[in-house]
Amino acid sequence: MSATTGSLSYQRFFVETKLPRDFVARAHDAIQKQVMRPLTADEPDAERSGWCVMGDAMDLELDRERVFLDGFLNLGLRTDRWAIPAALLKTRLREAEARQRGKKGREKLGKREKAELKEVVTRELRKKLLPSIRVVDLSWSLEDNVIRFFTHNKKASAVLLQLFQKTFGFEPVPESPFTLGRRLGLDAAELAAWEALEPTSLLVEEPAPAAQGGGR
Amino acid sequence: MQLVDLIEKRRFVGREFLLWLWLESELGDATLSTAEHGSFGLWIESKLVLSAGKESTRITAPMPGQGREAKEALRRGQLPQTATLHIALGEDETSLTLEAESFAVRGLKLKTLLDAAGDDDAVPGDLVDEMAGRKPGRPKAKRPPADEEGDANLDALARFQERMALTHAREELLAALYRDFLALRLARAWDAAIVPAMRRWAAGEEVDLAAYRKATKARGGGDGRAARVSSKKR
Repeated sequence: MSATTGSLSYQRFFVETKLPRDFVARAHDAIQKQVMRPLTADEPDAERSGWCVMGDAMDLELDRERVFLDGFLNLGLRTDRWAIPAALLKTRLREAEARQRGKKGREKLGKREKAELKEVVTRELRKKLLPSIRVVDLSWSLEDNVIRFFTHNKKASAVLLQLFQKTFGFEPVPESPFTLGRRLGLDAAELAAWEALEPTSLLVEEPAPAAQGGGR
Repeated sequence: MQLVDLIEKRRFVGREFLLWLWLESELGDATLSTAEHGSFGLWIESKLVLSAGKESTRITAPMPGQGREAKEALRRGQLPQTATLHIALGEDETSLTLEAESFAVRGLKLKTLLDAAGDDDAVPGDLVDEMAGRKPGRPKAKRPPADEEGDANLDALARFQERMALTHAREELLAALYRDFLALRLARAWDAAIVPAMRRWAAGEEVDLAAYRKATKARGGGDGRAARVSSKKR
């Protein structure tokens, strides 16, 4: 999901750590270390994530002026994944196994041989396909200490949070009714009242059914 | 109480916030106010989801809160889980879907001036889209020549700034409402006056508006903290 076009869907996180004076330089160096390295067919990884330019999954040139915009730190989380259709892999694997059995003059292949064949077939198929590419935007207002993750997908959020922590070295706090209340300035009495809160319910109890007549 | 408990065990407060917005909107003819923003329009439109445990009620209608189905769900113990809010503040109208327990936002539609510029012009592909029954879209912008790239970057920056400023403004409005809600929710007035009014409202009975306002204003203490429903009589 994008921060730059269309309607916005996002979750908010907050930074409770005081940022150091040289944060911009340090953060930029840390980002450079986690720039997306696109997947290639010869690597064993089936999936990989890294930073890209916000709004453009193909742009991996994260110059400082493209990341830090007017008090915001903007990034895209790009995730590449090899998605080989299961039916295609199965068919190619069956063909390769048949060839191998013929070559070796045996009726069956061992577990290890099968695993090796699967690896070879997978690599060959990857060379003919392109990995799926997904991008999720992130915008961090350094002034307000609020980070907006432009996704509601649980898996994407977890990956984003993990990479964020790995890059910047701290865990942002997700927004909730309590965190918003705390930022708005709950005083001691209100905090005590918060701890004692019980849920409001407008439930209307159904009247108990009338007792059945006991005549035999 | 540990921080995790303060957060996790009190997520229901977000549902009660949506419930309160819904009540205020209906009692005040969709007009609410905060000390900072003055009066503005706010109502639930198009989608309202209520739930309790495994039971849920999903209502899709132009004004989903106004039918009996929604009130009946409340009387079965369900509370709002998500609601699409329409907000009309001055010239600006926007809508967004708010998730009660995380305050996550979906589908925030912003009325941006920069995005709107030139939107009336047809763009290549519109006719094809229209014939195919698709929503007309804008073609992907070609990479500008080097000498125009600087202007394009400035344009993109201005658009981004505008979008973030408008987003921030909507969040500030919701935060102001939430602060007013909390002032009531954490006071005795909630159980003494607000919940009884909610019960009558959910049952379709007359709500004593004067008593309700008195209760909300009493908590506000004249410092403008509590949101006030408009003085319009239903």
